[in-house]
Amino acid sequence: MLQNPGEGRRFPWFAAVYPMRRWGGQIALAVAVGIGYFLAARLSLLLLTKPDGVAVFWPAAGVAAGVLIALGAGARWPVAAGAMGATIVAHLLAGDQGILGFIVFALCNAGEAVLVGWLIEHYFGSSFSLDRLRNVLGLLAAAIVGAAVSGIGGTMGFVVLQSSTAPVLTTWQHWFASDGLGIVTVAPLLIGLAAAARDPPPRNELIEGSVALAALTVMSGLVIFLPQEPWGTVVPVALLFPLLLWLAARCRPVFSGAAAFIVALTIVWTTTFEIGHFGDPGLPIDDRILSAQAGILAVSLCAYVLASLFAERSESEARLVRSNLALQRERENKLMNLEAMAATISHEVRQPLAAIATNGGAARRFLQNAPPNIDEAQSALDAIVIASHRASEVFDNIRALFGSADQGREPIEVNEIVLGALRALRGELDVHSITTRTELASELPLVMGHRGQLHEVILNLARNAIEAMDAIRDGSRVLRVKTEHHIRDAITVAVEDSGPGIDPEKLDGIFDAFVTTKTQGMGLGLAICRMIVERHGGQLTAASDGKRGALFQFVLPIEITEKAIPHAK
Amino acid sequence: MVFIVDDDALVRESIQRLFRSVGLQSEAFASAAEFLQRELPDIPCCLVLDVRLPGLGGLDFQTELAKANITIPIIFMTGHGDIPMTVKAMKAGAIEFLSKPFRDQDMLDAVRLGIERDRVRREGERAISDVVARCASLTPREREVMTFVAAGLMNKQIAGEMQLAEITVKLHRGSVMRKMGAKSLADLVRMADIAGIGKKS
Repeated sequence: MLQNPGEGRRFPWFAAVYPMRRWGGQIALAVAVGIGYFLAARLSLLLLTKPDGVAVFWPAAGVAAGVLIALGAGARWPVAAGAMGATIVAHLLAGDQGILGFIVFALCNAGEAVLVGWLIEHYFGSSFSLDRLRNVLGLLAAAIVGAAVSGIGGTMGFVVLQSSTAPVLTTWQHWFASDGLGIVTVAPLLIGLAAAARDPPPRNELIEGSVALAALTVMSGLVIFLPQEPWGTVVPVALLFPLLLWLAARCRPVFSGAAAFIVALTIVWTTTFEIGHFGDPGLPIDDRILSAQAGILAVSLCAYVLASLFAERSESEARLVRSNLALQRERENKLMNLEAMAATISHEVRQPLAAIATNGGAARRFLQNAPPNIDEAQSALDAIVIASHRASEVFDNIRALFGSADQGREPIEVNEIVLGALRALRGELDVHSITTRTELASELPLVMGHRGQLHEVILNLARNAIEAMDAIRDGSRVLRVKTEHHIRDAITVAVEDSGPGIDPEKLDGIFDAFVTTKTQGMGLGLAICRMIVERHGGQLTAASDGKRGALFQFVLPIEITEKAIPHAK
Repeated sequence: MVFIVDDDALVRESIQRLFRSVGLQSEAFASAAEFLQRELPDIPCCLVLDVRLPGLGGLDFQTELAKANITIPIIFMTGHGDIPMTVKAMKAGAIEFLSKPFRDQDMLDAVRLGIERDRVRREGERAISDVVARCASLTPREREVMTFVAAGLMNKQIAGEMQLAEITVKLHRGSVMRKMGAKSLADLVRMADIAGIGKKS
């Protein structure tokens, strides 16, 4: 009747399909990365620094590293293969000489992507996203390390195999700058796209982000063609920054990644093809490259940092709302439980009080009769004494249950409590001719709890079951009590009857205060049972199809955290 | 006779004792189902019912009784005293709604009122069934004559209507008065009204 929470969850269908598709997928990925890498490399090889011949921008590095971070360590070999193949082909098609050098470059490029991917995975885990400032800085650091290390290999390739005459340090510097920038500008976009594919943004955000990106594209095109004037450095900032701020504040980090990419692409493009501000042939090439690189770095970092800060803010806001809701619910539960308890106590005390008052009235009338009926008056007084004791017992029970509730916590054998409760009910079970079936799991771990309270819960659930089965005239009356240890860190106790069941529509309400069914003695009511179970960090649920029987079951955690016992200080 | 349904033995016994002290006969039951097993006697009685009972609750039980056409005045008791329930019970025709602990005099007053109502109801019912039984003993001719009489026709007019001699009508009329046990014309008209005679024309 109740679903096992562990069942049907996370069926690993992909585990069965994956091996068949695995090789095909790996090759396709390698080809895709190769094509992307090749296109980016072709663009880069159009602009080389003199005299060492290192590419000024190397967005291809970002393609490989970004795909690797987005897809995880499983994509390591396809990405490496794609990057290597693309490097060699790009160099060959560019008409360069020295195949050995290309192989070294290819190894450096692939190694760089693998290194960056490994660094990110090692320090940030497998699902990396740019919605935290820490992650943004981490990516920057990984890009610096990756580019620096691969730069060493690349420089050696230039010097040893290509007989480059440029100073070693300059070559390394160029390699480092172009690869580092490539990673910083392209990888965030790919990481963001992968995240957006997993969790697509809502339509509104998509439209708003696209509009802002289009505006940004137009604006960066305009900015490039601004004349070289003293105010030329202020205007780009004034024009681009609001758009970046808009994207960061209203959309998720992938849009900021795209914005940085667009700006970087514009700068690279115009520098390479000598258009506009960064392509002015009147200025020395080294100055132009330096200012282009500085511009790209500034825009990218600005975009990511803003985006991550806003993402952090909105996440903490959402967390605040969630915890507020949880607090509110907890408070309402507490109030409801208090109400239930007050109602139960009031009812339990009113019963003996009614007996006392009525017996008192009867005794007075018996004595006023002519002749006075002394015997009857005496038995009325005896009944009054009994009823007053019962009233005081109610308070004793409450004290025992809740007075020093938390001091009474001890390691408890749940099976023992179940058997104890059933022993206490043996008389009632016999009177109602009910068969009891117990299925108790062997070697149950102990739970920390309050013996008396848990005893009352089981007693109460079993009594409800007995009452429910009273209505059965023909057919068997079976009380089933089960303990289980299916869920790893919790014990389940189930009490099931073969009574007429509970209308499924009424199931939700049965735990409310006032919907308690009366039992003799200390009838706690389901609301208080639930309160007890919740105070043990567990959950009490009911299930029924409204025709055959009802099942009440509660789960008790084996390890109780501090949070589960708000009163344990 | 008073019936008490409450699942708490202490309460049950105390109410029975109270009734004994004023010489009222009573019988107590722990649940609605137990009460239903009992054949109700043909004397004025009423029911003292707790709102919360195991199995069938007091209010549902009230509805069930009404459905089964069992008209017994009900006095409700509750240990909670919640107002919506009180309103519902009173609307469904309860005599009184007593909150535990109640004053013994209130309980006795309510029970006496309930029994009195039941007595009046029973008398009314008995009178009706009496009249109906007497009507059944009339011959078709006498019935016809009674219909015309109840409609206010004179003997002469009835004779005309029925194409009988006036003396024959007089004879029939005399035997109708005798069989119905009517002391006067007004008495007979009232009986005709109760039995539903003379309404169709």
